[in-house]
Order: sequence, then C-alpha cells, then structure tokens
Amino acid sequence: MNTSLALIAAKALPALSGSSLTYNAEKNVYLTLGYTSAAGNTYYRAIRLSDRLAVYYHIGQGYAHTFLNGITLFAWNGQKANIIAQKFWGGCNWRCFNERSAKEESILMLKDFLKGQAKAMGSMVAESQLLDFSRSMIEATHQKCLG
Amino acid sequence: MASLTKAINKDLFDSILPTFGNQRVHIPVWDEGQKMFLCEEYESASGNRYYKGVRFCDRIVVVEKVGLYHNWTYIDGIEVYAFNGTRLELVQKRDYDKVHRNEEFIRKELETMVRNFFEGVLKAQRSCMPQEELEEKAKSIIDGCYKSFLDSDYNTRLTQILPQIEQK
Repeated sequence: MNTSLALIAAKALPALSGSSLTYNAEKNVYLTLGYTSAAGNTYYRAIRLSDRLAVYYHIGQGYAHTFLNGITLFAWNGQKANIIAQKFWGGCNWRCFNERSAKEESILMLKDFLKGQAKAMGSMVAESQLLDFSRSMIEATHQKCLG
Repeated sequence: MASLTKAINKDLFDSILPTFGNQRVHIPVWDEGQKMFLCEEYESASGNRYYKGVRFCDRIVVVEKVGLYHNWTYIDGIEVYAFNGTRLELVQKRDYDKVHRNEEFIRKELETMVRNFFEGVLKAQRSCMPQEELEEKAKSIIDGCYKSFLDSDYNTRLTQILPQIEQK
C-alpha cells in the first residue's frame, strides 16, 4: 500500500488500518479479509480510495457466481470518513458483480448525494454538471496512482 | 458568466465533498438509495460503524438505528415518533438483536408499528376501526415516509425536524 493511502486508511478508516487489506494490482483495488460462511460462500469488501472519496463494494463469492451485495460511498470529513450513500441488493433482487455496472451505479449514487446536498443548501446545479462531477470523482478512485 | 457559475459550483462541491483533511459542511446527508437522511454516524474502536437513518412525512418521524459490522449491516432498532405541536413524542419502539437489515422487513415492521399505535390509541378511547382500514392507513403513512427528498414537491420544511432527532 502506498504511504499516503496507508495514512488515509489508518486515520479515516481505523477498521482497515491493520494488515487485513490486500492489494489486487490487476483490478487496482484493495480487498478486505474474506469471511467464508458454513455454506461455503465468501464475503469481502473491495475498496477504492481517492483524496475525496472511498468506495466500498460488498461482494459475495458463491459457487458459480460473484455477487454485488451492496455499495457504500464515504466522504472525508476532516480526517474521518462518513457514509454518504448506501445501496444493497439481495434476496429476489440479487445481482451478479460486473465492474462496469458497479461503477455506473456508484456514479449515480454520488450524483444523488450531491443533488441532495445542493438542494439542502438551496443551490441549483444542472443535472449534467452533477453527473460530470460524479463521474470524474468516481474515475479518480480508479486511478492507479491513488489506488 | 459560464466560468463564474463553474467557480461557484466548484466551491459548492469542495464544501460538500472536501479533500482528505478538510472539514465537510454540516448538511444532513440524504441517501436516495435507502430513502432516508443519515445522521449521527460514528465508528467504534473495534471498527464497527453505527448511524441513525431518519425519514418522515407530515404525520410521523421514523428513526432506524443501523450497525455495520465487518461485512454485515444490522438493524439494531426502530423508533416511531408522532408530532405534538413542533415537538416529537416517541410512540413505538422496537429493538433487534443480530437481525440483518432488509428494506422489505423494515417497511413491514413500520406498517405494523404504526398500526399498533393506532390500535392502542383507539382502544384507550374505547373506539374502534375496521382492521382493513387501519392497515390501509398505516401503509399510506409509511409510503409517505419513503418520498424522495429529491422530488420537486417534497416538503423541505420537514427537514427542520433533523436537529431534534440529533439531540435525542
């Protein structure tokens, strides 16, 4: 893990500052230690960070498929992380993991967060601008120099 | 003019999504995915994370107590408040032990809790209402709580409730 990222993880996300993170260079993503259920399914989180955001994918690895069980977005508040959006799937609403659709879902979740914040502050921001900004913020979490 | 708009929006974005180390402006977070405001979040020393999810309509306020442990999200409790003037009064409360959070489950619980509240009040007043009507009323009130803050006709005056919830 690079030093600045380790610092961010240790300060903002103490649960991740131990040695339980591994870096998957091929996917440019940090993976938490998995938990395997009695049924043989493994659950873990895939994490991407930037200087503005942390994006968690909650992943379930079954016998034949990998599932996206949820997405959580965190924003930084000083040196702490706060949840700004969460979405879960499961039951009859299950979905297989797909990198591209998970990324698009993250962009939409971030856009809705920004829209809510702008509305709460009484500001009007064009939908296209919110989407552009969200896209660039999520793209930044995928950049290798930061992840 | 376009660059001025862009600059204003950059300041706006910087305040609500600051870079690491900078304070975020204190504005309630609306989570469109869960259709609720996220309040009072904290992380314990062991790395578990807790927050309150708040949603409301013009009749009631619902508070979910949510806990995130490792890979799981649990519902630790649900509280329903009714209005008494501008104050909030707790009218129903349920606690849960190691119950995974599930949107459908929570919605059903809320409908039951609101229906129980109605039934209790009616019984105390020695009055009654057909069960079907009670269920319908409870369902329509809960449906109202799932209205999106992002909708143009959302009653934003209701967000004044949030500071009261944060003090509880």
